[in-house]
Amino acid sequence: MTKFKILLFFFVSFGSYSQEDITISGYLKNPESKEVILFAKVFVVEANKSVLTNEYGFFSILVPQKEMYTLQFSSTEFATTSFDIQGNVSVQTDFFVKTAQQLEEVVVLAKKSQGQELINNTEVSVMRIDIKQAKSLPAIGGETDILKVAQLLPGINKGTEGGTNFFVRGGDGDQNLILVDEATVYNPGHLFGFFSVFNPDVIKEMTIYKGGFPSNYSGRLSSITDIRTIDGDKKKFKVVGGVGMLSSRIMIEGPIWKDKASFMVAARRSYIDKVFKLAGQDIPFYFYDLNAKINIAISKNDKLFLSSYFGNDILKLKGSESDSVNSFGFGSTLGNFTQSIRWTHIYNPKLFGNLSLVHTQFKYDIDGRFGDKNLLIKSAVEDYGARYDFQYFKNANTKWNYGVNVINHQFRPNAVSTTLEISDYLKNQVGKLMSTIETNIYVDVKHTLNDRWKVDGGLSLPQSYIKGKVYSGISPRGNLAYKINENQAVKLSVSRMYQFMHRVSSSSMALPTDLWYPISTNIKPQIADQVAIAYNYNIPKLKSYIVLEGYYKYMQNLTEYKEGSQLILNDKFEDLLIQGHGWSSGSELLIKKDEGKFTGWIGYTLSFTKRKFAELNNGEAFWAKYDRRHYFTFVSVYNISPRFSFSAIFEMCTGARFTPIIGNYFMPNAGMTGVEIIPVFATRNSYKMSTAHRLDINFIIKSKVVEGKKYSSEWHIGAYNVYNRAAPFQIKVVQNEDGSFKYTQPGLFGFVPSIGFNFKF
Amino acid sequence: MKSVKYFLFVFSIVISALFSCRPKPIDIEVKPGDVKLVVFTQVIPNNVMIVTLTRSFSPLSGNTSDNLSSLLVSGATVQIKSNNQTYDCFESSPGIYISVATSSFVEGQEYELIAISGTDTVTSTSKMLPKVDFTTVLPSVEKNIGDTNVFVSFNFNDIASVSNWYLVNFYKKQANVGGIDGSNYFQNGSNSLIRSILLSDKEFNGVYHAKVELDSLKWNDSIVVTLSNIDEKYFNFLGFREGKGGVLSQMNIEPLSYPTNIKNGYGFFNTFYPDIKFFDLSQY
Repeated sequence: MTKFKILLFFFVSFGSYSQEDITISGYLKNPESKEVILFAKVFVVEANKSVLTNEYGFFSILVPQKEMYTLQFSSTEFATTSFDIQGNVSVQTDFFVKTAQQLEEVVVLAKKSQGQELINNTEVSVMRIDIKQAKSLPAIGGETDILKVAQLLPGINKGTEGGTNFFVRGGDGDQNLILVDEATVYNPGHLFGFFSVFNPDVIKEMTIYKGGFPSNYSGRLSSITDIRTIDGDKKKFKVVGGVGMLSSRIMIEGPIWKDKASFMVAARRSYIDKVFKLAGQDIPFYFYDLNAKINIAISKNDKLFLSSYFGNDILKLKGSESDSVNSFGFGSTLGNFTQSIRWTHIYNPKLFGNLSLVHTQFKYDIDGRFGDKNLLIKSAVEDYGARYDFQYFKNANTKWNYGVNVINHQFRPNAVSTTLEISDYLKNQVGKLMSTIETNIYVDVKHTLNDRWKVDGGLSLPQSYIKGKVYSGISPRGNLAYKINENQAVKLSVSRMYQFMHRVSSSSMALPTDLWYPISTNIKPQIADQVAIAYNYNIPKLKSYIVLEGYYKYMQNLTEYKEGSQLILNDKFEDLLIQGHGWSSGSELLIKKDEGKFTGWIGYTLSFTKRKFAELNNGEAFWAKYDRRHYFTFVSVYNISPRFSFSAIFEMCTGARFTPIIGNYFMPNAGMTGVEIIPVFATRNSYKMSTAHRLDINFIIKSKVVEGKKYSSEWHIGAYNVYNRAAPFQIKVVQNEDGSFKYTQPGLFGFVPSIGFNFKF
Repeated sequence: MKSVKYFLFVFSIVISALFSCRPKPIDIEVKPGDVKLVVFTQVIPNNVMIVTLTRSFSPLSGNTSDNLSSLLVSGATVQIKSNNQTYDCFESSPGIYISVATSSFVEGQEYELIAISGTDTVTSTSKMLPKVDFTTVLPSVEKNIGDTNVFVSFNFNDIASVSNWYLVNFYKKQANVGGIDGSNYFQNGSNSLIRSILLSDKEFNGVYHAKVELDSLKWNDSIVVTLSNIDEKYFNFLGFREGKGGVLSQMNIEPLSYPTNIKNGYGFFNTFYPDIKFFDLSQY
C-alpha cells in the first residue's frame, strides 16, 4: 500500500509548475454537439508554438505572458478558425471551433493539413483513418468497413479476400491489438470475418500504429489500432442510420442533461437469414451488435465515460423435430462483450489524467443435438484491467506521458460436454482455466530540441505473471525527427515490443473460433525489435503529401505448430507449440491528398518476410504465409458536386504463399488392412498464388439540402470486383473436360452489386 | 406495404446475384515432385520379410486406391544385406518381393535394404527390434439384450534402459466368416482393423496395463490382438496419420513432411515382429 502511495505521489506530483508563464489549456469542442475534437492542432500565433489535442480532446500549452494571443485551431473535419485571448493570465476553458454558419464572422484558414502535421511531429508509421472518407468508399454489399479501409494502407497486408484478419509489416495475425475505447476486441470480425464488428456510425477516430509505438501501448508486436467512439451530442437529439444489402443500422445520440451529459446508442443487425427465407431457403445465420456510451461532465475538470460494445454471430440450424431419434440441431454463438469506464481529470492546467477500468470478453459456444445425443463446446477469454495514464504538458516544447496498467487475462479454452456415443469421439474436458496478470509501467517524453530537431523517447516495463514464473521485459521506444525545411522531414524510430499471449490458428486458415492462449513456463513471450526510417514531403500546392518509409523488424519466440498437429479441440496445445524467429523488411510509399474535389491515396508496399524454426522445413528459413512481395492500392473519391460523388478502389497484390501437395504415395494403414494416400508437400510456403487485383466503385447521391430541414439522406450504388476477377484463397485439384487434372485457384467473391441508403436527422 | 414488398423482391434478386457471380478460378502451374520408389516391409513370424514396392504419383494423375496395382513396381532388384551376406528377394506377385532365403532375423542386428528399379535406387538400414510379447491378453464379453459389449484387458512389460514405441492393433474377423484364418492374416480384407493404440514408454512406467472397449462386435465374432515394438520414425508416421480422415482435420491441414527411413524414396523398412493373439469371442 505504501509503495502504491509513493507511486501515486510520483505520478501526480509531476503537476507542479512555475507561475512565470501562462498556461492556455482546455478541451476543444464542436460547438453544435459539444463533442471533443481529437488530434486537432492548436497554434499560438505570437509564440509560434503549437500542440495537438490529445486522445481525449484536451490540450495545454505554456507561453510567456503577453497582452494578447491569437489561437488557431485546425482539424481535418473543421476549417481552421482563430480566436484572440488575453495573454497575461492562465486560461483553462472549453474552446469551440467554428461551424460553417459561423465562419463568416471569423478568420477562415485552411483545414488542418495532415501533410504539414507530419513535418512537425515525431510520429513514424502512424496512420489516421478519415472516417468520413472511409464511409464514401466502395465496400462488399455496400457495408462500410473501416478495417478493410485500413487494409488499403501501405504496410498492412490482408489475409483471405474479404476477411478482417490482417498482417502488419511481416507480423502474424495475432500480433495486432485492437482497442475500442481502451477495451481489447479479440475477434474483430462478423460473419466468419467478412465484416468488421465496428459500426461506422459510432467511430470518431481510428489510429493505427505500425511502428514507432508510443510507450503507453503494449501487449502486441506488430500493430495497435486505437478506435475512439463518439461521445454523444450534448445539445440535441440526432438519428443516423442506414439500410444496406446485408445489414441495417441505427444510431441515436442526444443529451441526457443539456450541456452536461449525453448518450449514444447504436445497433446493427444482418438479415441474410430473413432475405433467404423470403426466397424459400433457410440460412439461419445472422449477426447483431450494440454500442452504447454515456458521457457525463461531472465538473469543469472531471468527465466520466461509460462505454460498451456487445455483439454476437448466431447460427441456428434446426433439423426435424418429429422424429426424436433422427432429429438434428446445431448452433453456435460467438461474440465480444466489452465495457470501459473512464474518468478524466484535469489536476491542474498542465496535468491531465485518465483512469480506465476495462472488462472485455470473447467467447463462443457450439451446441449440437443428434437425436438423444448432445454436444456442447465452450471457450472464452476474458480480461479485467485498469490503467492510469497521465499527460504532463511541461511547456510548449516538452510533454511527459507516464502511467501504469494492469490486466488479468483469463483463458478457458475448449470446455467440452458430450453425452452417449459422442463422448467416444469427443472426450469431456473441463477446459482448464488459465489466468495471467500483465502489467506495464511506462514513461515517455516528447521534446522539441530546436526548430529542426524533435525527439520522443520512452521506456516501458512490461511484465507477465503466470503460475510459477514471471516474465519481465524492458521495452525502449524512441522517435527522432529532423525538419529539413517547412515541407520536408526525415525521421527515425526504434521500438521493442513484447507479447504475452498468442492465438492458435492453423497455417492454412484462420477461423473466428481460433483460441487465445497465454505464455507458459515453456512458451516464452514473443519479442519484436523494429527500426523504421521515414521521409515526409508535404506539397501544399497540390494539397498532398508523400510518406516514404523503410523498416526492418526482427521477431523472437514466434509460435508455430509442430508438423501434423491436430489443433481443433486440442487442450494439450502446449506440446504442439514450437518457437522460432522471423524477420521482415520493406519499404512503403504513400501519396495522399486530403483536400479538394479529388481526394484519396496511392499506396505501395514492397516487403520480404521470413521465418525460421528448427523443427520446420528441415531447420531452413522459409517465407511467411503472408509474405506478399508487392501491394499496390489506388483509392480515390471525386466530389462531382455537393450532391454527387464517385469513389473507386483498385488494388493489386502478390498472392499469398502456400505449400502445395506435389506428390502422393500409398502406404498400408497401421493394421495393414487397407491403404492410405500419403501426401508429399513442397518446401514450406514455396509457392505463390496468382496476383490478385480488383476494382470496386461507388456512387453517392445525396438529398437536396433544404434550409431549416434537419433530415438528409444519401444513396450508395456500387459494385465490388467490377471485372469479376478471382482473388485466389486456396488451391484445388480439379478435373478437366478431357479427364486430366489441373491445379486451380478459386476466388471467394466475384462481381457483387450493392445498394444502400443512409439517413440522418 | 407494396413498396416494401417490391424492395424485398429487388433485395432477394441482388442477394442472389451476390452469391451467384462466382469468379472463374485461375489456373496455376505447380511443378510435380519427382516420382520416387515407395517401400514398405513387414517381417512375418516365420522369418520371412515381405517387401512391397510401389511408386509415388502426381496429384494430377487422378490415382485412387482402386488403381494401386498400376503403381506396383515389377522387375525390380530387391536385396537384404546383413552380416556381409546378401539375400535376394523374389517377386511373388507384381510389386511384392519375399526374402525366403533369409536365415533368421536376429534381434539387435542391423539390416540393409536395397531396391533398384531402372535408374532408381533406394536404400535403408534398420536394426531388428526385440519382440515384446503380451504378458496377458484377455477378452471379456458382456451380453445384453440387443447389445454386446466386448472388452480386452492386456498388459506387457516395457524393455528397460532403452526408449521404446509400441503399436497395439485390434482386428475383427469379417462378417459371416467363422473363426480366424491365421494364414492370410496379412492379406487385405481378411480382417478389418477396429482399433489401434500407439504408445510411447514415456507414458507409463515399466508395465502397461489397459482395458479397452471394442465397438461393433457380436458375441460370436473373432478378434485378433497384436503387439509390435516399432521404430520411433514409424511411430511418428502413424501418429501423424491418426485422425487425418476427419472433416475437422481436413479443414485444418498443416503441411507435413512425413517421416521415412528410406533414402531417395518414401516408406518404411520395418524390422519388427508382432506378437499375435487370436480369440474366438464365443469362448468367452
